[in-house]
Amino acid sequence: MIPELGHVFLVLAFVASIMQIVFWTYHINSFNELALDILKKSALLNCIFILISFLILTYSFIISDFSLLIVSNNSHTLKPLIYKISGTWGNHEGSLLLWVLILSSFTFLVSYKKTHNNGELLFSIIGVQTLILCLFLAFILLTSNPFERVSAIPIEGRGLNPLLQDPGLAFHPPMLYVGYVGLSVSFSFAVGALITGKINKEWAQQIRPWITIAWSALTMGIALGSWWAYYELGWGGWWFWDPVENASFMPWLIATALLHSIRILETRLIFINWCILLSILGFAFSLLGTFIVRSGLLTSVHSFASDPSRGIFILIILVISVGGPLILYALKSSLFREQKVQFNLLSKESALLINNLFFTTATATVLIGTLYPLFLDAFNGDKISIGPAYYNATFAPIMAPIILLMAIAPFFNWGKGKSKNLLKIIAILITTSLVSVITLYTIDGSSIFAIICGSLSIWLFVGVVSDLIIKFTETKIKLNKVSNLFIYISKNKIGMNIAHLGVAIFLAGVTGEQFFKTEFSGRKNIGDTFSIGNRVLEFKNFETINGPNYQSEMGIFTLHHNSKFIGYLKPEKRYYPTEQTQTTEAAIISNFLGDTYIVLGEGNYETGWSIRIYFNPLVSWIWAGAFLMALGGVTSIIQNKKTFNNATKVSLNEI
Amino acid sequence: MKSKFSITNFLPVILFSFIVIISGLVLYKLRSSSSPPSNITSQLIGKKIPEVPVKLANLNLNINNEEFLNFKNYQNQLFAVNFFASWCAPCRVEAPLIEDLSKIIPVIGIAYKDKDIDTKKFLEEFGNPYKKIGADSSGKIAIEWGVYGVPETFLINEKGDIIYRHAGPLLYNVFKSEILPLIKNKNQ
Repeated sequence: MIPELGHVFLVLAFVASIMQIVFWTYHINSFNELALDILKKSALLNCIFILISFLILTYSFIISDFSLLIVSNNSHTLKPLIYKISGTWGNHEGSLLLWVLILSSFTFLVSYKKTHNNGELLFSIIGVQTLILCLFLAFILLTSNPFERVSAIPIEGRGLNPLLQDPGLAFHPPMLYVGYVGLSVSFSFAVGALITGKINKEWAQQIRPWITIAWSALTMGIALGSWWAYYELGWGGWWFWDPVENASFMPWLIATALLHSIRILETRLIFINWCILLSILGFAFSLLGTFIVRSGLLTSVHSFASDPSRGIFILIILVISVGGPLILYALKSSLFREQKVQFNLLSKESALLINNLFFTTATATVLIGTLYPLFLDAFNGDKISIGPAYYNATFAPIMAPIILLMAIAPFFNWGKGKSKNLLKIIAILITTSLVSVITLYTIDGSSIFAIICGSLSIWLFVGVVSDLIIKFTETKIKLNKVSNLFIYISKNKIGMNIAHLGVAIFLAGVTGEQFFKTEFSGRKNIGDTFSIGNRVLEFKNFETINGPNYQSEMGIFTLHHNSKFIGYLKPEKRYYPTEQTQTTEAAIISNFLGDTYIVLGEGNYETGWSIRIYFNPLVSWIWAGAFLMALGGVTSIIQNKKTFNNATKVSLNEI
Repeated sequence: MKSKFSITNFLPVILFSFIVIISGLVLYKLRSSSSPPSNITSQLIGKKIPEVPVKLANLNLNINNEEFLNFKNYQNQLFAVNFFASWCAPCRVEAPLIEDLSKIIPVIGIAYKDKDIDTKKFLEEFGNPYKKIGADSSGKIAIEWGVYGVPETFLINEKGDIIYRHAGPLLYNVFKSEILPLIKNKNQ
């Protein structure tokens, strides 16, 4: 009975959204405040309906109601509570429900943000958001009903894929969806601008926090996924250029470009069309990602229970929600007149423009790499997959100039203004980078690429720190008290600096992991001692253990570094009887300088066990860097909100 | 207001259509090549009935009930074992067909994870087609029988071998096309 209630609320939301769209199209040319108010309230209504529906589904997972198809297929009574809850979105139907829940929440948040003074634009934004919501609700109700009952109620569920029973992965999808769906807001802003035919600096100011939220969430979501892949899949890597990873990476690249170009629009009111196009593309890539993951179009470790007929439905959604705006763009974008603005070659404008050029090219490279196997399949039926070799040859060279520019661009001025410190800064940067080139050259086993990558990281790091120092000296606050640090931070916009610092740290991590990784693999038995570098490992013991819903074989190793005891490593091989699958649980001792990573393979007491060990220098910096990037995004939202409020206060006082 | 149409503005939509068309083609190919899912097969087909004792359901609600089901009593002919539960909606759906089946061959019911009083109410409402009813209050018997879920029906021949198993509610087409032919074969 309760699940049916969830279904009813979903149908209610669907019907309500249809009515809202009819209402919206009817009033689109005769906008008035009353109509806006009605649409705002109904956005809240949609959100509540979907929330109830989602909570009911979560409840069904918690109580293990196996009369529901997706519960019996994805859950198990013995599963820990947290994975029962995360099981709600660990499957196609439930994750779609989460998707629309986040979408409707975003619509509600946009409609209730107080800073809007352009009602007509807001009216269009809510309309477009509701249209997308309606399409996805139709998709859920017609092809992927999460509340479908089974004819024979199983005694026990089939369990969640053990690979997904992991804390990192419990929060990876929600984070990623906030990013994906968050991009719908900037998308709707862009379509709204096309519909109303009006665009101004306020438009850019209002759209920016939404892009930043989506971007930060996307960054965190991707980082969580990569971290999970690193410790759970047992391959020792953190990024595999898998189609599904690319599907989340492409919107990120576009959102990064948009995040930068919107700054030009905000200050100079130029590149209007470009920003609109990027906003549309950002969400288009989100939808493309959804399409790729759920249609079975490309095969990947991540693919959901894929079903071609679902794929056709998403393709239709894609055509309506992206094709429509792109046609609108083609017809109406020439309406936006731009002022003629002049700027120097070494100005913020050109730097941001070059940034955008490179980021869109990078997106195109990834897109081609992802879809090329598809094209080939369509034309001659060959199935191929494109691996890291392609991306190392194409993507990496595109990114290098961006890093070069990233360190110096913050010192440029807008327009034709001269940059004061530029020459000094470049001198400092070149000197420190030369030092790092030489240092890296002396390290054993460093290649030319390692030197380039490491030096870029130092280059960027020094650039960001110099910028911070200059900002600091200009603020004229003495750092003799801790509280002054907070004043300093609140007076300066440092969101960008934090994010760029994150990139530098990320790059350092990449350098360490890619070029200085050491590896050992072989067969070892209990009592054996072996070493990589100056780390000594000893195989102490082997045990079999029973977990809550799995059986585990565990090897126990000790790790000594420079003959100092560091800790125990306990890699496991788990067998989940319900799902009849095996997972490897790598054991990792992680510290600031690097990870010792060990995977237990097949074996027995006579022959020993096959064992793989990696030492990955600086690898945790990769995720620390990504976290800093997201933190930078959040900081800039908070700081901008403050200045925004202050600005409105000031203008009120002047009146 | 006059607007100029420049071809560059159409470039994104043209590229987009190209990607959509290709994806559509691949999907179309995938769709025509996908195969239907296979039926659940039981490990127990062709094997003897599991030797786990089944307590009789205590429908009179006596305090001490220590009687056990004896499958041997029925083993001179083909008979059916049907796992059901009062809380299971599909079991209500299949009740009329179990009734029909019981007119042709003996049917033994096993109430899965059910209270005796609820089983009794269920039988009062839907009729009692069963020769005897066993109780599997802990669900252990169902595990021994390899039951996927309730309802589930087994056919057992005179040697005590399981010859057929159907998971899910008995539907008319299954009854007609799978169960009736088996019964006819045995009778010939």
